[in-house]
Amino acid sequence: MNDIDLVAGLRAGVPEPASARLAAGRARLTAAIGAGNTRVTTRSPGIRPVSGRLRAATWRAQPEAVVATGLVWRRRRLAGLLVAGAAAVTAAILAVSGVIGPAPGRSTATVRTVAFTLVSHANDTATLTINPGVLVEPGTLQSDLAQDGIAAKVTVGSFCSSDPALPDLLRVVSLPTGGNRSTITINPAAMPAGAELSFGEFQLSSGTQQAAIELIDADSYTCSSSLPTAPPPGSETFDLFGS
Amino acid sequence: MTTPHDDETDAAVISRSRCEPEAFALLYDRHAGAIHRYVSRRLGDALADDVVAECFLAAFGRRDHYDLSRTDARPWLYGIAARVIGKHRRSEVRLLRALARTGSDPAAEDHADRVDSRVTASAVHRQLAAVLAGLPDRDREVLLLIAWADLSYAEVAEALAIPVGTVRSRLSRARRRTRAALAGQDLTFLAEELYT
Repeated sequence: MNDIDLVAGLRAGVPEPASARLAAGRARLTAAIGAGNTRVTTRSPGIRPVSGRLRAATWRAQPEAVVATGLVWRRRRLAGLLVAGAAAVTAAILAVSGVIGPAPGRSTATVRTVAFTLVSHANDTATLTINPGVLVEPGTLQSDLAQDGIAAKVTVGSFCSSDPALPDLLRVVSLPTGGNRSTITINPAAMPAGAELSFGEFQLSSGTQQAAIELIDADSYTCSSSLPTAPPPGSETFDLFGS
Repeated sequence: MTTPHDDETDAAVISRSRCEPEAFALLYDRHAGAIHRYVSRRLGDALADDVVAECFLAAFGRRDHYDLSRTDARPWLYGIAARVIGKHRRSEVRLLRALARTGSDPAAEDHADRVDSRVTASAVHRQLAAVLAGLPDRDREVLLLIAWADLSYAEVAEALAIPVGTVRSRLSRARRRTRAALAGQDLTFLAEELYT
């Protein structure tokens, strides 16, 4: 008898469900397949998908106003803090009016800050729009992503990566096809178990800003304060803002 | 009673379901019971129906990406279930802490009349629940896939899309924590208390 056997004995009396219950589940599955609707409608009272949680829109003043371009996410240089601040306000206003980050399908919740807008969709994906003029607050973005079921490691001034990087980044992150290259859609259901989305932003001495994104193994990664100058082996990168 | 498809591997069923979507129900017939039980053990009976439904619908949606060289779909399905369960990790930890604190297991109460009258758990149950509640999510995932879903190390690695070495290291950590919590106790005696 070892410790695994002991754990195996915990709740060992829980049985497989009754056949009627399984049959009901089967009928539910076949009905959804037949109808082409593969989204679960929650039936248990009081239980709702995390992304379905309604959250109040938030507005946080962000002291850091910066300018951006980057290796992966490249941002146009702006003249200075004043211009960047104005851009932030403009971006926020656009976000409020729905110009930035058009939502694919019905939106269920939106978090809006000066640095980013995060929209949760009914299909369990989320759209993240980064404000080119303001560095994100790592804890805020990381926490808001987690609320949408997206395990992420958000950093500013450093970048975390696994060696090799996990594949499938482009299955998790969908790039926009339109002109607005600061918006991405994230599908947490496509993330491999144990994976996290690493998102790092850097303020460059040139006054520009760089951001990189990668799928990492939450159990095995390292963080570096140096700028990633080339895509890590095995990672997939893309340029959101153009050169 | 047998059907013409009884001999089909899971991979063959998934392959067929790409042209005949309704064929995917056969995969449900084969594995839903075991996965439902696994989910019930982790999240309680009340959530299990929805979680299993979400798991199979997600699997159906991803069947085009299934690696058909894997004849057994169990690791794939448990991997998807793990992701769905992960959305409810707070519920899972809350149930485990309730068991550890009070000795009453909400996850087993629904089955109390079928299990036995001991809804109030033994000290071993409570200790184990406390250990499981305190484990990092990824370590608990590996431990329970092995202990409750009967997956091998390689199958857990496949389910979670991680190297086998990572499975070993996570399991090793989890077992170390378990042994430390039960330190100095006679495991055989504990097992008798747990299983009788």
